[in-house]
Amino acid sequence: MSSKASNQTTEQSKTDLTKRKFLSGTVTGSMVAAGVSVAPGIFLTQVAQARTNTSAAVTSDVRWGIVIDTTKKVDWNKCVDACNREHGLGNETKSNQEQKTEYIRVVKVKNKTTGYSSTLPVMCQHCETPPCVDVCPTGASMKREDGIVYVDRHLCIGCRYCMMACPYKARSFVHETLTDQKENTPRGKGCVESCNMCVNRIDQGLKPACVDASEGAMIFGDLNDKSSEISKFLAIQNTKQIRADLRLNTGVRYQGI
Amino acid sequence: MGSCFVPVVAGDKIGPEITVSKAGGDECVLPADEIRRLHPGLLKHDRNSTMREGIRTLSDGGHLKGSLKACINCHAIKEDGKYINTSNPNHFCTSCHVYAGVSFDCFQCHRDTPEK
Repeated sequence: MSSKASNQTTEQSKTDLTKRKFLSGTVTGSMVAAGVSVAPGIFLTQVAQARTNTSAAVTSDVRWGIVIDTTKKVDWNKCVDACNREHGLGNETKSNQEQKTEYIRVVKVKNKTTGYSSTLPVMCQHCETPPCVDVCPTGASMKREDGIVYVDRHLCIGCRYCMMACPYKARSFVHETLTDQKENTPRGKGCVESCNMCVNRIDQGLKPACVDASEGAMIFGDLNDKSSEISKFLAIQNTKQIRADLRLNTGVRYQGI
Repeated sequence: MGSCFVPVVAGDKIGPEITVSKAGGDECVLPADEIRRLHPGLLKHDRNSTMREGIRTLSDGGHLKGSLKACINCHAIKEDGKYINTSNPNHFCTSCHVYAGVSFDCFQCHRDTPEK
């Protein structure tokens, strides 16, 4: 049953990729018709597989999410490496291992009673009601309308309250002066940072770097679109949120934990 | 990619000599006297549009006027084949800010040279 589902998702991901390339066009931010247009900006059907218009404010019509299949035999460190490369992490030369930034942590959990263990990548869970946003004194920790939770480092004062509030230990703090940052991920000393679901890539119609490196074990898409690959997967496969008892309604769900 | 830069003396003879790279094109997003006065507000306003609302381009597909990335990529200057950073007095931002005595912290997080 699970192999049938994975066949479906591979085929769908190929179609979705072509659709995404067609939708996002060749120029980032160009107005592209998504569905049938009856007037400028008004569409009969909204096909939200990718961000189509970066000149308009993001709306909550779309909610981005990720599903992670932990039963697939994937070396999650590949996803961590892809993330580090994308965002230029690892240039904290003066920090010790506990201080270095990790957007994704590979966690191994084991059920003591049954002996079942799983290894899973844990990143920011992009909660619908994020505790980090609630506690932030400046409003730096924010949730964008399309569900992506991240830090506006212009406002961050480095109080680290969000790091305390996050149940998933998703946030990291930069302790030292950084140089040679990636141009699409500015990051610096004294600010808190975390996985931003590769918002710079999503806004170009791409998928997050970890999803691309996951060899199909991770699916990214629009949770609000019932016809998207991720929604179809979630409808037929049982998935869980980590710490679902906190009722944060995370955008990242896991299969096999 | 070679860049020719032209030292610019402020029209009113008061300002510093700024090294302006023409690598990215002939015109800045605003005329010189406007951009000189308005760039702090422009950067701040457009960064909020991008960060809070996800607006990254104008409706014609061009970059936002206040895109710091665009400033850096356009005004980049090379010396000895390498792009110079803000510690070099000839860096576009440094050349004026040192004269004006106004410090900035943009580049604690942002790149001060083009990535490519």
